[in-house]
Amino acid sequence: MSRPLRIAIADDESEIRDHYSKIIKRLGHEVVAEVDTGLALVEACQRLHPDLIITDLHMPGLDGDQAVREVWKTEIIPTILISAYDLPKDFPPDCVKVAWSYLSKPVKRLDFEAAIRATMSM
Amino acid sequence: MLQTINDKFGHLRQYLNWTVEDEKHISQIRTILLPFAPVFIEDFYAEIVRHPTIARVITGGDRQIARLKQSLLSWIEGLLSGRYDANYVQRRWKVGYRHVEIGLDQTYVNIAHARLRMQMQCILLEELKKVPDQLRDCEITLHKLLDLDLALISAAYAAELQERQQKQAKQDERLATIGQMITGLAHEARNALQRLRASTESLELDLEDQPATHPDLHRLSVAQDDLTRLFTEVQNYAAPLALERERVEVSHIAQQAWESLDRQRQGRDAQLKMNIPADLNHGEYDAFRLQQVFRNFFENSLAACKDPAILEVTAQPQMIDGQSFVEFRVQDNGPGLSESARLHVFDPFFTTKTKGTGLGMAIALRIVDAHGGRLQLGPAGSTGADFRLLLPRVKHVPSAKDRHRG
Repeated sequence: MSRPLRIAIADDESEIRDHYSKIIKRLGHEVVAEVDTGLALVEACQRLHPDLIITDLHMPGLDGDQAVREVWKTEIIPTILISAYDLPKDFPPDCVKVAWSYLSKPVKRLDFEAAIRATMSM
Repeated sequence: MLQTINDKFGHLRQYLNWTVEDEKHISQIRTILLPFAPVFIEDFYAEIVRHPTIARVITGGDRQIARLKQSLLSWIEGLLSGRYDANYVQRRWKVGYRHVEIGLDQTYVNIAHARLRMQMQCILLEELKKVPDQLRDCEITLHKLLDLDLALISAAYAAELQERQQKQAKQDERLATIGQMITGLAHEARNALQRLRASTESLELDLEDQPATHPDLHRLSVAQDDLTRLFTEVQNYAAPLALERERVEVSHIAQQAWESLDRQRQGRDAQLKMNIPADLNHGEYDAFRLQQVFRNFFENSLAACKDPAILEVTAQPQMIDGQSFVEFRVQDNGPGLSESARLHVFDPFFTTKTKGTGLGMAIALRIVDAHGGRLQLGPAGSTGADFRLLLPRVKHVPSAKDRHRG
């Protein structure tokens, strides 16, 4: 592994956040924020400037895709979206050049790990 | 229903001023026309075979023609019988009903009716030319009668068609609701599956140093894989299908489908032979969907065949109803399909595998339908499985760019 990453994760289900967090730590990375809403994700990213965002799509209030759009307005942070639902057709916005991946739930650990590597090397 | 029709018929008779006089004329008309019935019938069917659109609905060959001639005779006898009771009305109603059933458009019925009318009129003119008063009376009565007869048949046709369309609309609506329900269910289930997956994998990490727990954890994981696959297939089956057509090489797609099955082919002696002539190899298809179709054939064949498994894809041009198709045959050297499998192979949830959702072929059929193609089985008794995938053949019109290149 090249360098430890600072990662922000967002999902409204705590079991899932715990799991992501466990895998991430095992890989030697750091979880800098663990949040359960889109708004909290925007706030955490603006404050902590993580290297990577891993977020669910459907969350109370602001959805994951909307939250990262908001984040990308001021800072381009690589992102992995994970959802049981398809991505909205207009995602990602044309004007933004950013490394991003989409995984369909349920996600296996190996695919999750591969997505982190792939997104960071885009 | 019959009462309503009878009432309608009664109104029609009043409207056309059908009288006792008409009943009398009918008797004379019958005497003149009935002997000519065989002539009318021969002419009628001779004319039909000249029109492919009409002849198309006659699918039973000479035997059906013989039956139809018999029903036309009954129709003429009924028409000239002079008894226009409930029984008559019901038989006319059946004619309309039957036309909906076989898919014969009412327009053709109107034209056929007109042809019979014309011939009957010619005979009357010929037979009664020396008695103009009688001719006039008989002609008026014949026209009234034929108009009433056609009104009944077309009313029946319209009512039956409407009923069927309403039934179909209800059925479509029901299916759409079920589709939405299933899609919603699958999405929610995926969230639950994600929690299950997360907990299982957390356990796997926690119990890494306790090998005795590994087989159970593995089983948990496999069960989740199976469930995930089931939901993916159900979603695939229920979701609306929007094709993304592009110009593709079918052999390339089939090869990719074969390669995607590397896990299933592991440790097997399995071979894919392809023989697709270059001129049949190109088409405007949805590459991803078509790959799904081939993958499904191959997966089934691999499950059914003993080693050495030999699968073969060949192609030939086909004409069906004047339309040009490419027929891709996918054959294997397995045991072939049982009689019951032949009947149900395209039904959703039908499977012969111990671990199958039974949606593969049903999804394949949807994909092929969306392409305007057909999916069929080879003739019964063929050795091994024999699927026929027919895709419309679209002539490639070379663009200006292509011509420059050439």
